[in-house]
Amino acid sequence: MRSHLCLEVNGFPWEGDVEVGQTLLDLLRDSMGLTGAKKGCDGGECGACVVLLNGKPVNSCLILGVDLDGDSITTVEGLNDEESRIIQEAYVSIGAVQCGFCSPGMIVATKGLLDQNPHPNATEVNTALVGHLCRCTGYVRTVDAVQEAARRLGERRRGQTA
Amino acid sequence: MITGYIRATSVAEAVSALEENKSRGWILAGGTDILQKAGLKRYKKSNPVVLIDIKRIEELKGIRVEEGWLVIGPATTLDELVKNGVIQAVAPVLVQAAEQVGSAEIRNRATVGGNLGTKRSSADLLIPLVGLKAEAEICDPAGRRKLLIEELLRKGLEESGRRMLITAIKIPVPQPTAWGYRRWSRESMGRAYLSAMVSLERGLEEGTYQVNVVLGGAGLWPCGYEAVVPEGKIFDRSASASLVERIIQEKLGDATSDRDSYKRRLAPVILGEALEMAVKGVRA
Repeated sequence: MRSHLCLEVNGFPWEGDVEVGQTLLDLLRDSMGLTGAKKGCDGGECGACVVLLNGKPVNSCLILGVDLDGDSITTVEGLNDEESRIIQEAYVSIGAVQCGFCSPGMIVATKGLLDQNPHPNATEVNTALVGHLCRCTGYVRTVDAVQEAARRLGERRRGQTA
Repeated sequence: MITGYIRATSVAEAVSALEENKSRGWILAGGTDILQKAGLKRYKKSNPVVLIDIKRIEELKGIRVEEGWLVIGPATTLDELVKNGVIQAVAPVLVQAAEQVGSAEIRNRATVGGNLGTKRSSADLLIPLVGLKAEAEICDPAGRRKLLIEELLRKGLEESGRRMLITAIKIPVPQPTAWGYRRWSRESMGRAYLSAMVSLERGLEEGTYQVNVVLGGAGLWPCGYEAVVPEGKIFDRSASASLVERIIQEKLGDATSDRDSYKRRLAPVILGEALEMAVKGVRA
């Protein structure tokens, strides 16, 4: 059984057919060629597949394509504005990226967090990123990177309003 | 395997889709449980499943106070529940419990009804809802009726071959009380393995407290304990530890297997922490 679907993906309209059991993650990777969201556990445990659904971070492996209609999806490929670039640079400069498999999910989740809470403390960062597994960094640098990104974004916003 | 998908736009449509598809029909709300590895992805390919999506039914969403009842729509997400001002003010124990579920990403999708529908006796929202004496409004082709959450858990969402849909969760608006909720999981950010809720309310007699406890995961069903105790037994650390041990002994008894023994040793720790949280609430 197939179903017709209309979405907005990274700011562009997308229209097509999906299999009824196809997850949003498979739809992004296999049908749209957006391989930024990674297929790790495929069960909502690792966070590598996180995307923004109408601005909120979600596990794309736990959402069916047919479940969506007219929704807005943002993957790591869609985070190409200046503020998103600052988040990515903070991850790199703090050393929160090593093998990089978990990074797209973490960066998308960071964008979702900082959009809601521009100055999160360490506990709030941990709460927001608890669903992301990383075998390389040990998480401390990830928390530092999010707070560094928040600091740099704050400076940029203050500069814009001055 | 998933062979069909129905997007219901009203309760009547969802109930009729359940009736039509019988055991093939699965309710899809957030999907964070049934789409996990243990759910449909591992379900036998020879067994067809028709998903009945209830997320777009407006009636099943939102939180409101109605004639002395706090009414929660089952399609309300856990994130919406946690951030809701009415819940934070009237039933903060639900916030404490919902915050423990999965990750931020899971809470953005998972729903209140889905947490109850898992039928696990340790499910995070189930334990405080039992403690709050919540009722579920359910609907099947015969109409709507109310059941205590505890009763719903025992009966399940099927009666005489008729499938039922939860249409609302109704809680008598709680009196000002101090709450504590703690849980233990064996998985990373996983499901609760053992959970405990404690509420403390001033007793009718001076210097006493009404203590209500609900334990989840220790047996097939959540188990409750209610007593009026002198305040010394709550505020004094060693006296409260013996109160906790007495409750656990009364409810769980002695362990008869290794698995029971693990839970038996863990239960006083979880309950003790929940009691401590509630005591902090009284002091605040």
